[in-house]
Amino acid sequence: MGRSAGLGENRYPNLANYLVLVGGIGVAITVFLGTFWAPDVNPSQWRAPEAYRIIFLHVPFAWTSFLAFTVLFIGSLGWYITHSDKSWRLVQTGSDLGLLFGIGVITSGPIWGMAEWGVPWDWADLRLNTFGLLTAIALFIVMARRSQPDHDSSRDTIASAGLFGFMLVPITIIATTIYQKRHPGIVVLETEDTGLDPQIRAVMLLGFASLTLLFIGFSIISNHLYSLEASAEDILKDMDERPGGE
Amino acid sequence: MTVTGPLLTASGVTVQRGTRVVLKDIDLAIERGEIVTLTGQNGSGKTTLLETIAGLHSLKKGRVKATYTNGNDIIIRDLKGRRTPAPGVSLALQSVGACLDESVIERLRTASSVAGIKIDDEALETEMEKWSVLHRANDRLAILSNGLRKRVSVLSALLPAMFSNHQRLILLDEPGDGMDDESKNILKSSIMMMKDSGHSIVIVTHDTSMVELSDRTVALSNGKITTSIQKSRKPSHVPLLDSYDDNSGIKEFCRWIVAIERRNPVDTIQRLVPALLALFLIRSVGLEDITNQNTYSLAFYLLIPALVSVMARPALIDRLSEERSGDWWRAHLGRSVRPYATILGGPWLLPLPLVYLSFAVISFNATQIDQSAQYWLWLPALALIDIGIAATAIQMLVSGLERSGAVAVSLMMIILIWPFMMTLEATALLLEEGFQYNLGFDTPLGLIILSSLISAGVWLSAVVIPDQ
Amino acid sequence: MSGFYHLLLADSILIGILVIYGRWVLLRHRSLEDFRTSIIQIQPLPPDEGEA
Repeated sequence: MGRSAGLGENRYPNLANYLVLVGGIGVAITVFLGTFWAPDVNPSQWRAPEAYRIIFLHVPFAWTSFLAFTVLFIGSLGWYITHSDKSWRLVQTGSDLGLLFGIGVITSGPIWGMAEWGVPWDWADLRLNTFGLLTAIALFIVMARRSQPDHDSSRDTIASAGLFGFMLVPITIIATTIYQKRHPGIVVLETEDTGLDPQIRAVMLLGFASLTLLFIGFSIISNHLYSLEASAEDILKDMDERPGGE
Repeated sequence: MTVTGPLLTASGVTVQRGTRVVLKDIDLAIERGEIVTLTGQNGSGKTTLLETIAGLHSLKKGRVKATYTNGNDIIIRDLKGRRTPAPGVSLALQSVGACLDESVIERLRTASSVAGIKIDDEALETEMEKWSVLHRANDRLAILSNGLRKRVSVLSALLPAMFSNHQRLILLDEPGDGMDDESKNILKSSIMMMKDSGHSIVIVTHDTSMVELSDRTVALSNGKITTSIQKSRKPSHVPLLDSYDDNSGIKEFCRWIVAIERRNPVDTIQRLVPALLALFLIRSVGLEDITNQNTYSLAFYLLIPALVSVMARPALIDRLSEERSGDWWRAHLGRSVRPYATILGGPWLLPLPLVYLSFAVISFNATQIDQSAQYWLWLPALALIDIGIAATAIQMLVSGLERSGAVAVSLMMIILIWPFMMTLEATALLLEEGFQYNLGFDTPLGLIILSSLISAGVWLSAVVIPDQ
Repeated sequence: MSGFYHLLLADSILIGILVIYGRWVLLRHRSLEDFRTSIIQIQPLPPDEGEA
């Protein structure tokens, strides 16, 4: 770990600022359009017709958390193989953002589930359960990073936890598939075959795009800040090792 | 054939511990029959070097290898992740390196058995008397003074060499610490005896009288070797080990796990008490409400006490972290420790009796249960054992963190909900329809097998990721 | 039940999560700024004198 980031240069890259701004505005517009412009669904077919509008953020949040978990996985694998600080930044960023967006998915999903189906959780739903599992892993990693002294052996165990989490994804797929055979799942989304209303599709795409931009912006900022924190820590450690410092 | 090269070589070894690089580019060869002392200020890296020779630390650079009779090298540790317990090595850490529930004589026998050395009782007692620990032979280390514990720890490292006809390497970290003068004299005479027998010894010490015994003094400062002073040395003619067999160590580890639990059944009690509490609570909720419901609910309440027992934190984790006992085992067994520990540290005893006890307590009034169900409840009990072993593996993975008490390990165990749900389904089917011999997603046998396979997959995921 | 309150709750949580994260990132940035300011006021480090 060196002082490569340099504390003198501690503004976010401008690109990240713009991405967060544009993404944030996009999210606001998505919520607005989703609430007031997207068409109503047939009340005879839906128990809670207004609650369906949760989809406009819920699904993009799921997509974004998938991106974040991918970053976490790449970082964990990268750290395991190379022990590079760059990989560790990905673990830090991926776990923070995976937790952030994952919590969004596993809170909005059950809220919608309670409204529409009367049950908060569906054990047969692969996506919900996989995201739930990975969010729990992300929470574990975030807690571990905050509670453990930061050195290679802690990072090794935390990266192992990340890899362990991902090895559980195929296990979850198998388990929910088997569960579905006995307990057919509730369909969360209409499939491509049934077709989405063009307006609904448009708002969802806006949601996807906005959250993706927001995610990229947050990732850049997060990486940058963790880099700066590492530099700050290096300086503090140098001060520790001065005579009388430790 | 006489092999003349060094017994063990560390080449270009760099070790980072925490955020510090503790050893930098160390080259050190230990010759046969040589006593080497490692000296230096606190923080110079001498203990880390000793432990690295024992294969305890991952390397940032370099490798450590040992040599055998036919000249083949064994890689103790390298960057590719290869890791083998150093053959013919006995280690005494600065801590006791043993679970304090072990008795003195157990400790000494364990250390010898791990080394593949059988010592008869009389010879052992003679040595124990010489070291003034015989009077405490059957006492647990927990009740001994630090000085006595240290004596036992050092003696356990020296014993295999005392009774071995083959070359051994003894690693001692501050062996004289906490010892009185008389004990130190016994220690020094034992060391000289080892040397005369041709064994090699590496000692980390501040004690100048210990340094005087050595053939070579290696001084470290700031992670580097600054001086290496060689005196004259008698060549060793003790034959090297013919082959390396780690099975004796693994068998001993398994025996140790069982013996410690029998001595102090903390694990059993930790699992049993919450399970019984759960059962009593279920019983007191109102049996009628439970037994009048469908078999699915009945199965759920039936399995809950056993589930509670298998998810409890295994006592083995704390035993291995006590006085660096786990590090001692890792030095002698390498990577094998974790897979064996996760299996043997799992909940073997309780799920079966708990399932049947729950059945007896909860379901005696239930009318919707198939008559033959009670003969097959051992199947879900087995599946719960598998879940427990997977839970143990996850707990051990997390215990690798320095402050493992500061993280919520339950977050990592959520995956075990699925094998439990499958076991639950299987139990409900058993209760309702009895056992069916065919396999399928809707048969008890099929679901139990699937549940166990998922648990095995989780276990594998937690165990196969290399233990650094 | 139209689910309007569920919609309100879910959207509030989702947007709230983003806002909380953004604020947290801002606070981290500020604390690093403060650290930088305090470091500038400290004397340069003495030369390395060897072992710690």
